[in-house]
Amino acid sequence: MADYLDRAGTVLLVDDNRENLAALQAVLEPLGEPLILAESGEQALRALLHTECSVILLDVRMATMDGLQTARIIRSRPATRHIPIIFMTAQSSELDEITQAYESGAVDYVVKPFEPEILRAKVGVFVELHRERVERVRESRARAEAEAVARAVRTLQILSDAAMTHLDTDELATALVDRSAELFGADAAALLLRDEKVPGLSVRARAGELRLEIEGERVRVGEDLLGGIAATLGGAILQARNLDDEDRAQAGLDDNLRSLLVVPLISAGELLGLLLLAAQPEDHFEQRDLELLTLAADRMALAVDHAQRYADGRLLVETLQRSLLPERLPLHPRMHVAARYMPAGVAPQVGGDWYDAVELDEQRTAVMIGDVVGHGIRAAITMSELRNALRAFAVEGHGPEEALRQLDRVVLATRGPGMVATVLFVVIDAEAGTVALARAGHPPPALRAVDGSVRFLETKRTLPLGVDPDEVPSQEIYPIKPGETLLLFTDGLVERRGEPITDSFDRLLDALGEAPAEVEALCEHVLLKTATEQGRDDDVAVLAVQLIDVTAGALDLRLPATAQSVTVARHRLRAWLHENAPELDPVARGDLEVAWSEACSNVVRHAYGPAEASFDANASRDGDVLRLTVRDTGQWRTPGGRSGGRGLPLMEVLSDELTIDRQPDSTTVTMVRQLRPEVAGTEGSGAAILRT
Amino acid sequence: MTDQQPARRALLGGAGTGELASVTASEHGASLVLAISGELDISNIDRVAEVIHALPNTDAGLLIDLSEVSYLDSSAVSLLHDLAMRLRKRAQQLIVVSPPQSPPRRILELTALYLNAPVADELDSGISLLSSGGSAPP
Repeated sequence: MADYLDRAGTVLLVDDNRENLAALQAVLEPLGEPLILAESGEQALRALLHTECSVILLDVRMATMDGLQTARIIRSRPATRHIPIIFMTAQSSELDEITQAYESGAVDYVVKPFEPEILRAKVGVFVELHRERVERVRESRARAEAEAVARAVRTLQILSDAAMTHLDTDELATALVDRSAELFGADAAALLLRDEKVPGLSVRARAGELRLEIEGERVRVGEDLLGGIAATLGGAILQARNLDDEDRAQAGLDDNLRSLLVVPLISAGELLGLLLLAAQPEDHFEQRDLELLTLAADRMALAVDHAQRYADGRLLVETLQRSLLPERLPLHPRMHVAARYMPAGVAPQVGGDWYDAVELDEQRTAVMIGDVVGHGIRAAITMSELRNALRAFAVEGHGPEEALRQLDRVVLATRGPGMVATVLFVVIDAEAGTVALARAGHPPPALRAVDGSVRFLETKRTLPLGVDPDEVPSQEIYPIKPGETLLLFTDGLVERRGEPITDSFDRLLDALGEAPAEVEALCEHVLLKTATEQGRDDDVAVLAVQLIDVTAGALDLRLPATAQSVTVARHRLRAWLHENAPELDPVARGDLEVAWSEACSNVVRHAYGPAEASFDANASRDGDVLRLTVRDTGQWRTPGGRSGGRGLPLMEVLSDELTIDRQPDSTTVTMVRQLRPEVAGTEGSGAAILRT
Repeated sequence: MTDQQPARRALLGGAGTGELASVTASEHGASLVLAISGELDISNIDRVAEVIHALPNTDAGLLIDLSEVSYLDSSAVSLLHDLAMRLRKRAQQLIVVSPPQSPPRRILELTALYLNAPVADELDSGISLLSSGGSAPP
């Protein structure tokens, strides 16, 4: 099949007169398409057996099999039915002959002697049409392949979602075996897991209409059929007919259950269990099933491992750690704040890293990050105390220097000597354009300028908290401009065993310099680029603050057509409205956020073409009129898909005026909202939108 | 090991994960309560949907608490409508909690979610609706 797709342009020329053929060849060669010459209808039919042609030029009058007959045969074969045929007739042809030609399947005809230009143009059109058709076939094949992949991914997702929603090992085992049996059409299934009380693997959960009886309810690794498979750490498909009585009995196969799929659950190279799916028909499972289930088994193994570790209380510490960090960061009108926390990869202990952010007022945000030396519950409790104390000092309005001085006092008074903690406290003032910071033994923050250049904001090196009551952290003030990003981090990010710390700091600067501008993506990028290959010894926290450029005037965004851009656009609009339309009440502001997000979502849903497709989103204010526009370079499509057709009606109801300007190469959605209270919010607010 | 299990299980998001929304699950009698916080839009609705659809579906009903949701749009509305209809087919019930006057509540009203699922003002009234077998509020 690939063969004919590759020879997309081949043109078949059929004429029993060699001179005519040579003339045709000369006329059509400039098209640059492969040409096949046939001197009879029979030759043409033979050529069509192994070559897919884009168009056939067929002489009507030929000696043996004439053109009309040849065309009828071509039309009668499914493989060639779709190939366009252009008949060549003599000047003297009668209307009757032309009519017959059309009846036998001609799409066009030319009269001999033909005009070279016209013939070339006609053939060129069909070659092009054929190309498009082949392209469509390719696309539909790609789509079919993509769908098959999507189905497989979906299967994996169902299994791994089941895996992630259960922490109790028994519940998890039941969920996994249920879903696997359902997804793979098994009539019986069993999951065997390692059991601390007895050696080997024991049946932990079952599913299916029938019962899979594993001999002794247990598999000893390395013994018998199943134990042998388990020992190889690989999966297998077994047929009852190929097994002797003993193996059949051990694997639970009988006259009812004739085929078996066996997949081991392996985590970190260790065998955790065995999943068995059995079916009544012979040869029920295919190699594909084995491959898919093996992939799924990796995720199941992780979940089982996770559940077992949870049962050991090991996971509790991570849950505890996350519960000590702020669930939501402030949505400040002047700044974007994002943070990430990653627990240590190896040590199953609470780390001491923490961060926090407090919105002080409409211009200022306090951000803080710290690290308590030590691990475990004790470190976590200390961390929580420090965070709460510092948050209180921040809310009370203490500057960085004073806040840290107070905190140091708290540490000395309550924890006593020997407890070491580092902390960095920063107040960012959007109005003044300043970063005020003080640090106690903590690495300084890094600042990224709009042009991507990066540097550390150093202050005088100071000791960690709780070391010396006479040492006072000093405060420094740096300028910060709209669009610039401040990155706070803990030393897990820059400490790598056996590497000079200066190298790690350079790597961090590099990672920050090349990171995407958007703060969430920026945090991800920095973590990814600085993560060590073999897991971390230490936990890591990063926090980024970006000053939003809210200079008065219009908001002009150009964003990639991705779903994340919708969130970014909404957050930017929120900040812009705050600055440029402060009189808007929260309901009206919410309305505009939704209307704008719906318009952006519609662009993103229907983005196609080049991967780097983008769209423009603009907001402007003219007196009491707010105007929001979203423009993309594609055809407008009526909102559908996940919006369930509710996107457009929402845009209509939530704006005073909605216009959609459809141009051949772009679509612009404009929403207008009056700011005057007697107009705003009255239209349509009582009506509900029903599904369209 | 069951007694170590927290009352609320984190299904999605949480501090330091960078997720736009978090989802936690807890049991209330024979019903499951899902609490969502944060923002719901096209960028995360598929992940939220996956989490919800993967839940064991043996309970009498499902309550989705949107009290801590600060933003939602048509993508979330569609998920809720679909979920309500899906549950109804299995004779299970969906109750949504969203505080009056909140921006999400306004969107739920404009899109007539009440036609498919009762919307309660706060968690307690939502739970009593669930346990009463849930006739829609007037």
